[in-house]
Order: sequence, then structure tokens, then C-alpha cells
Amino acid sequence: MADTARDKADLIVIGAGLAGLATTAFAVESGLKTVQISLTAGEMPFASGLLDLLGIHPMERLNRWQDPWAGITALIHDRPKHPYARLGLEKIRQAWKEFLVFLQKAGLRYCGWPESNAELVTCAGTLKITNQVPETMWPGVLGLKEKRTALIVDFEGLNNFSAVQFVETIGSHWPALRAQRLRFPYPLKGVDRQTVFMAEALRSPQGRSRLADVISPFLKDAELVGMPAILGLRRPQAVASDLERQIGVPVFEIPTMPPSVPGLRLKEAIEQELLRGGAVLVRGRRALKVNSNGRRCISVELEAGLAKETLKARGIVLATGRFLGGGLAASRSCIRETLMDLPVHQPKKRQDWHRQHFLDPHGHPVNRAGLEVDDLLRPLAADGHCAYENLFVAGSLLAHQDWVRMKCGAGLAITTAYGAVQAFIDCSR
Amino acid sequence: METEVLIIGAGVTGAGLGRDLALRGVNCIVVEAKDINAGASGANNGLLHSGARYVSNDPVSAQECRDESRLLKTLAPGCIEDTGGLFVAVAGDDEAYISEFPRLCEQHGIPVQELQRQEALELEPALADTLIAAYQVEDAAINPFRLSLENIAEAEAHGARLLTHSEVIGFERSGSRIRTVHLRQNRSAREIVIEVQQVVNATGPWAGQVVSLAGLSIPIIYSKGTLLVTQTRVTKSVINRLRPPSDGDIVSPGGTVSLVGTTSVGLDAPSPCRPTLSEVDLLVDEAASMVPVLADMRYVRAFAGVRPLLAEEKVTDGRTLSRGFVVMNHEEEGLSNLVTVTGGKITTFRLMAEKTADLVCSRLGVKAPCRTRTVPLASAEINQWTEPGLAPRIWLKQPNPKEPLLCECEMVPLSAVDQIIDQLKAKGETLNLSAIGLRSRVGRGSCQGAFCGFRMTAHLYERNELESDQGLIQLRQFLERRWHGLRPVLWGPQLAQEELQEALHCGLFGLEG
Repeated sequence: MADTARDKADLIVIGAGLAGLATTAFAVESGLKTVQISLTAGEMPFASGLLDLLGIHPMERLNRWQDPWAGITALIHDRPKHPYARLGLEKIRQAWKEFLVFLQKAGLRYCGWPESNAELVTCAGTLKITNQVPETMWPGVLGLKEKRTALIVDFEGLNNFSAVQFVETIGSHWPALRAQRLRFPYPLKGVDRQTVFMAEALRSPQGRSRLADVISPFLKDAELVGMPAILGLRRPQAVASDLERQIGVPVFEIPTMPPSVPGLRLKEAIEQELLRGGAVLVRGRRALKVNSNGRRCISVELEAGLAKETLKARGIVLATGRFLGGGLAASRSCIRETLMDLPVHQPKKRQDWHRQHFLDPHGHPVNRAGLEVDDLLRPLAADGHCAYENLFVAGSLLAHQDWVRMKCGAGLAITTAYGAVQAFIDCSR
Repeated sequence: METEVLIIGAGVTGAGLGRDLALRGVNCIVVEAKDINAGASGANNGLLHSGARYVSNDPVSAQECRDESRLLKTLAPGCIEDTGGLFVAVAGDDEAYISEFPRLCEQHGIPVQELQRQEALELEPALADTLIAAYQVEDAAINPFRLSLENIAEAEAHGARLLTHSEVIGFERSGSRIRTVHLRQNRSAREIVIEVQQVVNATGPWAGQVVSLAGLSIPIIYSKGTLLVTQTRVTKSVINRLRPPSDGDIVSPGGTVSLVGTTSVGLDAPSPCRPTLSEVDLLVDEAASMVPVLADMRYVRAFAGVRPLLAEEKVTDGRTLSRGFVVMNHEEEGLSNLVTVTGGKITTFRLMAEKTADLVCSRLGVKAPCRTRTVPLASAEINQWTEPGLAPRIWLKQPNPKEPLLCECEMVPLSAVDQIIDQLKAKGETLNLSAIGLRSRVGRGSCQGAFCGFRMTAHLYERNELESDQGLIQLRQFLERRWHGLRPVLWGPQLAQEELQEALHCGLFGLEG
């Protein structure tokens, strides 16, 4: 194989969710020869595209933090085992800053206030606290803050987005909204990838001008127009500004149920930038096994048809996610880590995995199960010491966090990715 | 308001009684504290017993089941899938019981056919290799929701009325008679009073609580039964374990899924009643010894119901008690116009209704004979949406790309949900996500409401049935209700599905706040 990274990589990253992508990004930016492996296309179709940093802590009190950094400082103090506490505030700040620069390089613009979280309205009409928002959603953040008069549109035959529901549900916070059902200029296909189809249709200038023609007659006094997140899979800013030019007011996207166009967009843009940076992305191949020699991992065995392929590396980052991502698997008796059978921190018995009420603000203990790590994000063996000196963990596979309830999913993925790459570099010296 | 007969409880017995009385020309109102089949009628394994299960310890029930199951197969075929059934024993099961079984079946006139091991395995390839005996019987699967909905619908067509979410809070007596029944409508908190000539208490496990409002008592034993729903159907026919009735004995088909049941655990009160993890483990382990694939099956949910059993004296093991039913006239206790019907099972619901109606009619002086033995149960198109697997068949036969699917797991089209909403509204019944779920398959597939719960809420907004943030309240309630059944089966792929659900409903929507 011609590719040198494939012959012997510095770092192999397993997993293609946001944690895996961010790890690869930080590694490439640090000049490491990096191979990223995943069986599936990753969980990005499930990602909203919003970059949460820290919204809520402590979650049982549903306490919201306007200033995420103050929230993180409190979290580090209260929860010394949380991955954020392993990293420390300065690394988290550095990771966040560097990743936003990387996204900009990848052609995706995000907006947000440096020292403050932002609030926007989801497709359910609920308020969501987050930190960085795709530029195409930003007018919605400002519109909500300033209670602007807005037209919210949805489309005949589109599942999972209802303008009336949005307008009614958020009405007490944002009264100056009006809902309008429109006919999308092209017939909607299928039932489960409708938003992706619509985003593809808006790639062409003709698609955009036909959509503008459909929207304009209903504009009236609206100062801005909100719609489900369908403004193109690539270069959404260009799609948005073309639409805005034609209808005359700003448009904004509203995050939707999966498959989420902004999530796919994030994946696509990051992957293109990773390829430009020289990363090797291996897709559709299962990592079968990690070979080791004593306390050092030396290679990863990959499924290759009926045969196997072995990729060597100086370090490995596990970013395989949880149950949905496949990094963890639960049987009736216990939870296991799927690739290397590393010890999993977990409740003692299945009875304790979940609480009696789904929406219990304390969260479900199973969601804090995962891999325990040392300060270099290296998973611990049963003896309490790091299992391998050159194996690291990034993302939701880590124990002692509940990213769903604390609204810190992207932050967890990105900052632990940064931490894992830094730790690898430190360990390699 | 007044009526000749007030029936309390809209389970299958109350529904069947409403139809029986209406067909005899008797004016009646069915009142229900929650919704149709909210109790035991909606939480059983949907099994139309041939009677074979009861031959060893409950011959009266065995014969009643034999006769009633035959009758229902002819009169209510739309509610029944005539799957046939097997009784199977595996290595280690009691040989004496096995050899006694065919003789007992014959003694009670229940057709039974011995199968060779190979024949049984060809018929049901999912059976265990350790099979040592198999007998074929005439068991079948019955859809309890459709059965109750059709009975109520026909009763209404003949002048009966149904009041759901209307709970009995008291009786006003005048001498030996109940003169009026006081109800609270639980949604509006409004109280209504109905003047009655006769009252029937068809509340199953709640029968004791209801008669206590009139100062009487009934010794009810509450026996909780838990069941599991598989993601895919594992057998063609009903599979019974050939042993004295115990836990995890029955795997019955329910359209596209299988139901695995049951347990029997004594309770102090009929509610609340939730399936537990240890019951789920017990069911999986026991049933897997008959059908091994059940050990690694994906389960979409569990549910539990309470059987009302009757005992002369307090016993703790509900298994040994009769599954027979009783019709009590309460005359010795000084009430001349109250009847309680309880016990029994879904297979014998029609007979329970007939016997009760006979007593009520004799008191009213009504001479009209029972017609439910001969008149087929009317079938309404709208009730078909309760049938598992029907919506996908309709969709595949006639895919309509213009019509959105509200529920992708069970392929329920928007128009079906609209029909149900229209019907609920026309009858003035409570309209919410649970009421729609009860009358269709929405929320019962593998996503367990993660996607369709949201879509139903959106649809209700679009129809102007909801305003401001009412939809969030409904969605939260719907998700919490589904959680009772989901929590005990969360491992393997179903746990991954749950993780996605929480990421959406809490991570994105913030419904926990």
C-alpha cells in the first residue's frame, strides 16, 4: 500500500462520531500520521449540529449555566471524576478554541459568545441551551432574544417538523411567530431521509429560487424566516445568503430529529478537511482486535473481506461511543467494552441501571457507566493502573459523565479528543 | 342521566355485557375509570384457550374454554388468528404429568393429537432440541383490544353509551336498592349522577374496591402476571409448556410479535402494577428452555396485569386457584339490584356476560333471550388498526407515497390516526396520545414512542387539538407510561434504542426540565 500512514501510523483512532473526528483533527493538526477506522458512517446523522459545552450542573437541580466556564469550574470542583476534571479548565478552553479554528478552516462557520451560552428553539418548540451554533441557526438565537416577528414554515408531507407545534409550544417565550405550511418545490421522497433529500435539492440555484418563490408570498411583516435544518449539505452559508437575498429577510435553521442535516454537514466538512490534512479514513471496516506486547499496544486488526489486515501504530485512541455507537454492549447480567474487554465502571446490578421515571432529573446511573481513566485519559485495568501506556479514550465511552442531561456532548467529545492527543504526544516524548 | 343498567368497567367483560344487553334491547351505560381494556383485559397473553391448559386442575374452566373458544372462532373471526397450539415437554419435565395429559384432554372432550418429535420440530423449528413430548391442541390467538372495541361499538350501535375516564365514587342507597351512582369525570373533575335500575360491577380486580363503596366486601386475591413482547414473532402457533401451570409457560403469537408469559405473584392491591426486572429474567430463562431463541431475543417491552382470583380463604399461591368466574347477586348482603361478575378469563368473557345478563334481565323482567351465542360480532374497519402486522400489509399492498406514515415501526398511516381521532371526538371521549395508542399500534413498535410520540403530538397541534405547551405535557406522560414497560427490557439493542430516545427527548428537547 502506497500510503505511509497506513504502513505505520503514529495514531490510530477507532470510531467516527464527533469524538473520533475531533481526535483525528487534533492529531492531524499536530502533524501526526493518523488513521481513523470505523465500521459505520458514525453517529453524526443523530447529532444536532449544535456544539454544547456545558449547560446544566448539577443535573438533579436542573441548574442552568449562562457562563459555561463558570459551570465547568463548579463541575470540576464538585465531580472530580468527571472527564472535565481530568482535563482541567485550561485544556478545555484550549481544545474548544482550537476546534472552532479547525471548523472555520473546514469551511463551517459557527457563532456564539465567547463567555456565554446561547439559547435556541428546537423542532419540539422547546428551549435548548448550547454554546456554539451553526451560522445558519444564529438568526434564530438573536430572533428569540429580541423577540422578533418571524414566519416559521414547514412542508407538506415532511415528517418530524411542524411549524404549528413550534409556534404554539414556544409561544409564551416568543409570541411574535406565525406558522405557514408550504409545498416544497420538489416532491418529497421516502419517509426516513426527507431532510437530506431537501438539502440536496437546495444545492442548485434553481432549487433555491423556487423555494424563495414559495416562501415570499407569505412573508408579510416577518423580519425573519425559520425553517427545518435543510439548507444544503455543503456550504450552508452560501445557500442561506442566496435565499436571504431573494426573499429579503434573514432565514434561520431549526434543529430537527435525525437524520440531522447539520450533523451530516459537520461530518462531511470535517472529513474533507482531514483528508486534505493527510489523514487516512478507513470506513466500513470493523476493528477486530488490538494486538499488544506487554503494556504497549502495537497494532489493530481490521476486517478485510474474509481476510484480515493489520495496521501498526504508536498509539491508539478508542472513540467507539456507548451502546448506540457500539463501544459498549449490555447483556442481562453486565456491561462490557466491546473491542478489548476493558473493565467497565457500572452499577452493581441491572436493577440499578435505570430509575423508575424516565425523566427523573437525577439521570439514569447506566449513563454514567463507561471506562475509567487516569489523568492521561488511559483506561484503567482491573488493578487500577493504566491498562496500556499508549491507549487513550475520547468521548462518551468515558465513565462518570451524563452528557445528555448535562448538555455537554460536543464539549466532552472535543475536549477529551484534544486531551487524548496531547497525552499521546506527551507519552511519546 | 338515567339508565336501566349501569355497567362499571370497560374491560372485555363489561364490553361484552354491554353488547349482550343492548342486543336484548336493554338500555345500558358502560362507565370506565380509565379507558377500554385499561386493566386485566389489556394485559394478558391474548390466548384463546382450547381448555387443555386447565385439564389437570380446573376441569370446569377447561370445559368452558373448550365451548367458548369454538363459538368465538365462528362468531368473532376478525379478532382471532386460528394458529393452533402445542403442548410441549422438554427433558427433565414430569413424565407422569406428560402421560396423563392426553387422557385428561379426552376425558373433558378436548381434541388432542400426539405428535412425533420430528413432526413437532418441523411444525415449529424454534422448539428446543431437548423436546421429549408434543401434543397438538386447538388453541388460538385473540386480539383483546379489537375484541373490546368491537363489542363496545356494537353495543353503541344498539343504543348503549360508553363513558370513559369516569370513576365511580359512591352509591346512593334507598333501602335494599342502589338508587343512583355517583361518578367523577377524571379529566374535568366534574361529578355526575346516574339514576339506575340495575348495577353490574365488572371491574375485575377492582371488584372488591367498588362494592366497598356500597358497604360490601368480596374476598379477591390479586395475582400479578407479567408478560414480555418480542420484537419478532418466534412461533407460528401457541406454545404451552406441558407441566403443571407455572412461570414462563406460554409463548403466544400476537400478529408480528410473540408474547412470553406469565408470572404469578400475589399483590396486596390491584394497582399500581408494574413488571419487574426479576420477573423478566425469570420469564426469559423459563421460556428459553422451550424456545431457546428467546434467550437472545430483542424484547420491545414488558407489561403486567392483575388477575382477579376468588378464594374461600386467603392463599398466597395464585396458581392453584380456579380461573373460573363467579356471578354474585349480593342479595344475602341486602342489595337487590347489584351484580358482581369477576374472575374468569378472556376466552370465557362471552359466557360471563351471558350469565350476568340473564340475572339482570330476570330482575328487570326482560324476556328477550341472549343473542351472543348466534349473532356474529360486527366488525368495524376502524378497529383493525389494533391488529399487529396489519398496517404493514396494507401499506405493502398499496403503498401511497403521498400519505405520510405516522409510525414507521408499525407503519401506521396518518389517515388511520385521523380516523381514530375523529371517532374519539365524535363520541366526546378524551383525546390524548394514550387513547390513540390504545386504538392503534402507534408506540408499540421497537422505537416505543421515541419518534411516533413526537409525530402524534405534532399532528394534534396541526389539527388544533392542542395549544400552547399542552403537547409537551402529553408527550411527557406518554413517554413515562411507555417507560414502565421499557425499563425492565433494557439490555442489548433495546438499550441502544433507549439511548437514542434519551438523547433526543432529553439531550435535544430537554423534556426532563
